[in-house]
Amino acid sequence: MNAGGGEEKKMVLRMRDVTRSFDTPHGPVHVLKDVQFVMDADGFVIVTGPSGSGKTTFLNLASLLDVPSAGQVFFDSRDVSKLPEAALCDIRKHHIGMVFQNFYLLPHRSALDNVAFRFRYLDVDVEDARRQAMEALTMVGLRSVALQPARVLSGGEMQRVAIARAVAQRPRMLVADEPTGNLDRASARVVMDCFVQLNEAGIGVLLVTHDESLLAYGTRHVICRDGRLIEGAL
Amino acid sequence: MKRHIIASLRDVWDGIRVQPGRIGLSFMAIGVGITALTVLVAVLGGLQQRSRQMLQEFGANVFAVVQERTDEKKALSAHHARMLAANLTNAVVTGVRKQRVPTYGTAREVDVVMTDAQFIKVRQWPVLSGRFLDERDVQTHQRSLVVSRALSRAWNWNPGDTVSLKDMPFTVVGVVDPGGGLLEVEAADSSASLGDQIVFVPAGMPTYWSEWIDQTPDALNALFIRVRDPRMFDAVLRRAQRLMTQSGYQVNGLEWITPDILLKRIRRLQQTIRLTVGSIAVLCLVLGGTTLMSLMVANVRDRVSEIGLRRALGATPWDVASLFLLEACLVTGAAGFAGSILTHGVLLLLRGRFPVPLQLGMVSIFLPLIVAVALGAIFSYAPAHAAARIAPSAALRND
Repeated sequence: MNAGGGEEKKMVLRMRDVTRSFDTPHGPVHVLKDVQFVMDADGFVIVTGPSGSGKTTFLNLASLLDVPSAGQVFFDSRDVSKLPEAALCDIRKHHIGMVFQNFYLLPHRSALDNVAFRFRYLDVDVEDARRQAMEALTMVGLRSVALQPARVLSGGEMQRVAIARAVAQRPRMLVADEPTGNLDRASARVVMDCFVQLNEAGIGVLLVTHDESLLAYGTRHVICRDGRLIEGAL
Repeated sequence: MKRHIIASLRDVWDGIRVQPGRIGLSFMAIGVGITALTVLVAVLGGLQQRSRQMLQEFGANVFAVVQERTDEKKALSAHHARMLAANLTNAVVTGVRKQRVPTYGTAREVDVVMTDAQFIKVRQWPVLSGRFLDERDVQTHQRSLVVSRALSRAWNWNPGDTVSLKDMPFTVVGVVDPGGGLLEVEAADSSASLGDQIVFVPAGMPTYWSEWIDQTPDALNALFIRVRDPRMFDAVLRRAQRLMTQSGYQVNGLEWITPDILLKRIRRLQQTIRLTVGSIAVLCLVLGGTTLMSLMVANVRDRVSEIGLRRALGATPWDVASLFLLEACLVTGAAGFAGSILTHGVLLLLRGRFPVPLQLGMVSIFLPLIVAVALGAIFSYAPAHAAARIAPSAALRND
């Protein structure tokens, strides 16, 4: 059984017969097999599954950090499976925001500069970038710590800075890999509220987690098992 | 463009800030190499200029006969100059005697060259003002004095001035340009090269301040012979050598110096310096380069997550490679600049005491700088290339 849903006109991401395999000394290992997946532009999809089931590989393909071994990936109805690296970089830079379990902030820079780093490879004026970064920080409730170095922030604040960085450019899709994995329950709740707020603002969210308590925040649940995606219940 | 440059510099500064120890080590290694290279470039440039100056000073169609040891019983003298002048119809002959003499009322000393009116015809140095010594000065032992340009500038001695050498007043009649001026002229051969801080007085002046002339009052340090027709140069040289072996004219310890010999001496010196200082410079730079390379490899390894983040934000492989290339080039460029400027400062302070001539200028500043930046690019290319090849998904899995 494969996961699917949503109407074609609202689709942001679609995978058709996608397989991702890796060469090993003992032959190829198929991490994802014949995956079918469609994500609405305003969807909030939560992907769960046991370790080694292929969740991160699926997320890498969805965020165009990786390309499939077979099958097709469509982003905004455009087949991106065979695009050159530069074109994938261009899509990532303009349309995809990413949030990671380990935040990946630049510790010496302020929260504001970390968010403005979203524009590092975009042709945006410095002042404009800082203005948009401040708006994003305000949206996640961190305007007051904007000028503090990232290294002095709490884990929850760091993750919210990372979310602000991901959405400062107003992406078409926000991809999050275990965003609450390093946070306590209270901080996780605040972070998830941010995702809900962004989704309500029209940004599609694709979130991978081990924590089934987060399912309540999503509009759709997909289970990754043995390299295949299965529609799950909320 | 400006925004991109500022952002790149900020990225580099962040990279430097998180690993000051490593960057400092690279900086020092490259700085030492650049110091050696700057010395090499300055010395080789100085020798090159020195060889040009010596040839200019010496004259293209001129050869010299010098007697190295002045305590020989048979000294080179005006007697030999007259004999050669009488026999070498295709040449002009002059003789010089040089000694250091104190100037009146000061602790300063000056190199005094006693010569005749033929000197200027043989050496053909430009007379900048006034005139050179003439036949009348020499025959009547006039207390006329011609000063070199460097000394004229340094001591403000000009035509018409009366100056004193030891206790004797002289009238300055002219200023000549020996051709050097930029260099500290230390003579590879003290007799053939007169230097650029000299004065000329007529030969045959009373010699009570000539302490070294013990045997013959008209003893000379050197004879200079200009061949009028360049095609006859070798023939005139051979004839002069034969004439000097005649009975009654034989002198021990003679050395014949031609422009070819001068050039060979300089080139031998250049080659020796190029080999020794050059080897040290190359060794230091390669050592610095490999240190830089190993540090850049460690740098890339430590920043894999950051590479992943940048790729996730849309950086291309080239963006990632250029980050490390720029960082290495800026560090080596700064090290090169610091090494070059520091070395120039030290060399300028030691210039008078340095054993070989130096040429300090744009080449000795910018060549080491260019080499330093090139080293940064060459030795960081492999680590930067490796960084660019890291797949973004692999980089983000790094933790």
